[in-house]
Amino acid sequence: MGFDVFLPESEDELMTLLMRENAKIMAGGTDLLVRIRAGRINPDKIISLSKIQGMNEITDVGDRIRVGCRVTHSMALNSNVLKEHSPIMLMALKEIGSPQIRNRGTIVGNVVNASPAGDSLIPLYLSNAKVVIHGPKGERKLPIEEFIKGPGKTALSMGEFVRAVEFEKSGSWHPLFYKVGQRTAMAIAIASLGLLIKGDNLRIAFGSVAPTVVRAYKAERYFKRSNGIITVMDEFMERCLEYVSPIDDIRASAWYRKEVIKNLLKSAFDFWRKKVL
Amino acid sequence: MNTVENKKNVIGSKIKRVDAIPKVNGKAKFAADLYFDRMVYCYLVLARKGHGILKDIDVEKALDVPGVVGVYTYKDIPGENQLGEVVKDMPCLVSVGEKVRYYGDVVAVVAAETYEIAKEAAEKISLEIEELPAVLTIEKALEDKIRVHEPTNVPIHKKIRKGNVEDGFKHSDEIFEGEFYAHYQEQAYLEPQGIIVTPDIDYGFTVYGTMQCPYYVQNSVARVLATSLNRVRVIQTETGGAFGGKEDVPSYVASYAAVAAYNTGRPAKLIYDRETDIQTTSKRHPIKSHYRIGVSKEGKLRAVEIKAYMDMGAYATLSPIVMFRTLVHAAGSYDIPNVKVDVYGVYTNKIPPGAFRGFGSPQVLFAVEAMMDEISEKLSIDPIKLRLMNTLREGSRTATDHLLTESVGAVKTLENIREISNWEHLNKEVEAFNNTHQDKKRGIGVSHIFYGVSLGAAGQHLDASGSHVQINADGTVDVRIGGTEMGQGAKTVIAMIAAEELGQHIEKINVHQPDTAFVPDSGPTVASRTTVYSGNATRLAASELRQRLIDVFCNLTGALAENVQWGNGKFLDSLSGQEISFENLVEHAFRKNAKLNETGWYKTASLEWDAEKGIGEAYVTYSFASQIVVVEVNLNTGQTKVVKAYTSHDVGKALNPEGIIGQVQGGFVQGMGYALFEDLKFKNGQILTDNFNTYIIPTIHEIPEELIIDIVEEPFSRGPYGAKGIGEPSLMPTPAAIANAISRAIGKRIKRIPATPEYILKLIKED
Ligand SMILES: Cc1cc2nc3c(=O)[nH]c(=O)nc-3n(C[C@H](O)[C@H](O)[C@H](O)COP(=O)(O)OP(=O)(O)OC[C@H]3O[C@@H](n4cnc5c(N)ncnc54)[C@H](O)[C@@H]3O)c2cc1C
Repeated sequence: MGFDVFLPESEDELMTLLMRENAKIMAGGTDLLVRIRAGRINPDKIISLSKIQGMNEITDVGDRIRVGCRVTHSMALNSNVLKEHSPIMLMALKEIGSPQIRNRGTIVGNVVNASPAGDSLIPLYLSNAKVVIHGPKGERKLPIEEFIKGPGKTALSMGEFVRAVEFEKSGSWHPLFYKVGQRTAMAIAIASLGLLIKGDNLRIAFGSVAPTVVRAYKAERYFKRSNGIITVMDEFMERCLEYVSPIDDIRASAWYRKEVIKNLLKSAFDFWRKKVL
Repeated sequence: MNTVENKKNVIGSKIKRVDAIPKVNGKAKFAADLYFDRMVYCYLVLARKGHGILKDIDVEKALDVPGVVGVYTYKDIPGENQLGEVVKDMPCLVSVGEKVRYYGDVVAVVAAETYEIAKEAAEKISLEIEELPAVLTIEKALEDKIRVHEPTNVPIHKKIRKGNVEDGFKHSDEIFEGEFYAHYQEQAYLEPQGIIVTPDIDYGFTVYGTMQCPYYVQNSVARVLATSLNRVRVIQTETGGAFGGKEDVPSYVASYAAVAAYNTGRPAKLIYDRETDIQTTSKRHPIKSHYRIGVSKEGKLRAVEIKAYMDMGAYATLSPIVMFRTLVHAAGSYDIPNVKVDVYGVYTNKIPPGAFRGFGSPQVLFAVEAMMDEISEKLSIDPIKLRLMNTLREGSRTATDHLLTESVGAVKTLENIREISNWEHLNKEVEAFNNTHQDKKRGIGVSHIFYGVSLGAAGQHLDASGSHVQINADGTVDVRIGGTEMGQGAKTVIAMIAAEELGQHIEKINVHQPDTAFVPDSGPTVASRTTVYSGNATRLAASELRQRLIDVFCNLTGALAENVQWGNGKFLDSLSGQEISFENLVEHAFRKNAKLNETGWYKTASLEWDAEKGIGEAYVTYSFASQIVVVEVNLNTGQTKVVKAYTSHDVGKALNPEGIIGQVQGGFVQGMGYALFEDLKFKNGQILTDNFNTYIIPTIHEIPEELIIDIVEEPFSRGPYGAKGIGEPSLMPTPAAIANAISRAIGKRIKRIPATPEYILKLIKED
């Protein structure tokens, strides 16, 4: 185990350090340090973001919101911009870890960690997020669905880092978020479900039931075609479950995950029907 | 000794824990906080195979790592290569040519200049193991084809034969049957196992560490090092939780560290990381049980027949005595004329379970209370009424035919929970909730338990304790006991007893860390026995010293002994009103060379026990408890939330009411973890859930908002001031009450704990 820690104070310095071999960026360290201790990765250089100026802002950029790479979950939970324009994001962030974890962990760290159970990913997928990448060749933006390639896999290349994530405001949509863990707090999702609904527009995303967080586009289109009124639940369900391909793991079986998603969907739409009527 | 009297100085009052401040401000020294000059750090090499023959240990690569001091194997053990207190079936370090019997078997100890080096080197040791098929379930073990040990996988069988069950069933109107399974539970103490063994100035070894039973550690180290007990001194460091997990296990940890200290001639420190701790240390035993109960129409229990199989894992460790408690508690807190119980201990190629708060009883109390709930439902008898009809009272006989003559608070606890829960109203409230909710259902669960205090008939030879009390020239008092503080509050209650008996202020009393050099073997700190045993020993010593101080007081003042009162740091002649402070009196006593130190020794009268029939006085006395729990089950996810709980405990006499509340709160939450969350998962005998990211224990958010605790007092004449134990009974009723509440909420019987969301959802979906 054993590594050197670097504390760059500017993006330029950071970029230079990133060209070194076997280096890892650390934001809050709540994923990184756990993986190092478990021996899953073995970097010999840790580049901490803690001394870099800026990049800890949440900014209103017209119809989108930009979250810098040093923004922690706690900072986000206290942000008026997010409270007003992305209630779904707050619903998800409240469910992350414990106060200690929320004080250290960052949204961008959650994104780069690319876990199908990452709670902030559900609102990001639902809000058509783009990941702002900076590297030797300058800045590029990738839709989150292209950025996250699989469990723990991203489109980041050598020398690149993530500056921020940008995503659509969703204040006028009705948000629903369900997370099922092994207990009520400090639990990794074994199945999660996020919805944004506005009239006959629906966006729907699942967590922990596929290699990445997934959007159920076919179900979204079906909803639109049905003018926002689902008469045959089975047909809608079928279009949702196409995206649900869970595995058995240490936290739950594939059967359980699928069953829970079905039940949550049913009760979400029961709730919605009652609300609309 | 008849000790029931009315004292009012300190006993029964609200006292701040004597060890609270250092534990809050960080001054307390736990095992990992101790450092010695030239100390080596140790790391263990595990077999990491379920079953096989160890062919070779290759240590070359490890020895090449700079900073490694040595790698020690079976060849480096100077004494017996043997661990375990009861059955001699467990090696300290597995020898080449011998069997590996589970994943966590220890093969070698690495000693190095730093912890990191020791760990790195341990990973470089390669083992050649010829694998054998492993026995991973109770069912497989019972086939007895592949053997974990010769000559059989089922070496232990304990039984009760009371009355005639066939007759009892014949005279029953209804017969109920059920099959149950209770899984492992990890003790999950905050502080992992840790020991330091140092060569000392007495030409022997001093052992420091986190533990419950210093005398077990002393025995084990002496045996492994081939030395005598007077060359091994054991000092308990502050202990961050134990729950039974530090009963026998620290003996093993100390033995590994002792091998390193002996061979290096240097202090050797062995602190487990959480993964090693969970992979290699004891758990609560999984128990599979089958129940058959015969009742009359009215709900009177006529006969019970029980078969229980417990998974002992690869080595028997404490299982034979754990089984005794399973046996005695299997039929619950009820007066049943015909009882037949068979308990079998089964070897498998898995982690050896051992002691855990409740010691083999919560598994069967869950089962018998599920049966009681089923009977209450099917016969439409109120669950509290059914229990009142059948529970133990003064003059009743337990399942082992033990005639109870005093201190039976069972009925009082049942009446108490009915009152504090507002039973009728609670039932209506839950009904109303269920009428207005679709996705969530609530249920009310009742449980009622008894719990044998101390070691009982199976451990009588260990049931005695000493205490050394010494008054210093400045009026301060040293108390040394053999029982350990592990967070449960032993030091506080012992200080209270000493203060009560001596009349000195509690702040002037120092209850020291146990040290085998000062107090004779006082048995283990287990079985909810410390208040009774160390407490009585302290009381004997302190009251003897008080007599001497009264003599000095009478000499000085001319008072008559019967008029002397004590308390609040002074002695008083109630007739003349003359007072002398404790300090002044002690000064006078010292000038007269009075003997101001005393050793108390407390043991209980021997218990009559017929091991063949399982009949007789199983324990010196029993604690009783009743509990009501309200749960809410989410029918979409199978998740359960405990909404409310009411619990009542007969403790004999509440010496330290604050301490009791703390114990019951902790016991409740630990019982709730067992009932709902804690699911140890395996793959080929290897534990997968070896840290708290996957082994799920309750957090503060899982604790019900309403947890009402009440105490009833039915004094035990031989307990100090009438007290019995509370440490374990605090947990016992909870798993059963929660399981019953879920069953009522979903309308299906919970037959397995933990009742995880997945298990509950499957039950809901069935049929
Ligand atoms: C006890 C505990 C509970 C947890 N509970 C939850 C939970 O409920 N829900 C949940 O979603 N997660 C949970 N997590 C996981 C973790 O806290 C989150 O994923 C968190 O958001 C990670 O952020 P971080 O800043 O700590 O990331 P870090 O650990 O610092 O980094 C994570 C990864 O991202 C990389 N990285 C970080 N920032 C950048 C950047 N700017 N550019 C490029 N790469 C970068 C790092 O190199 C690393 O590979 C939990 C973790 C712990 C330890």
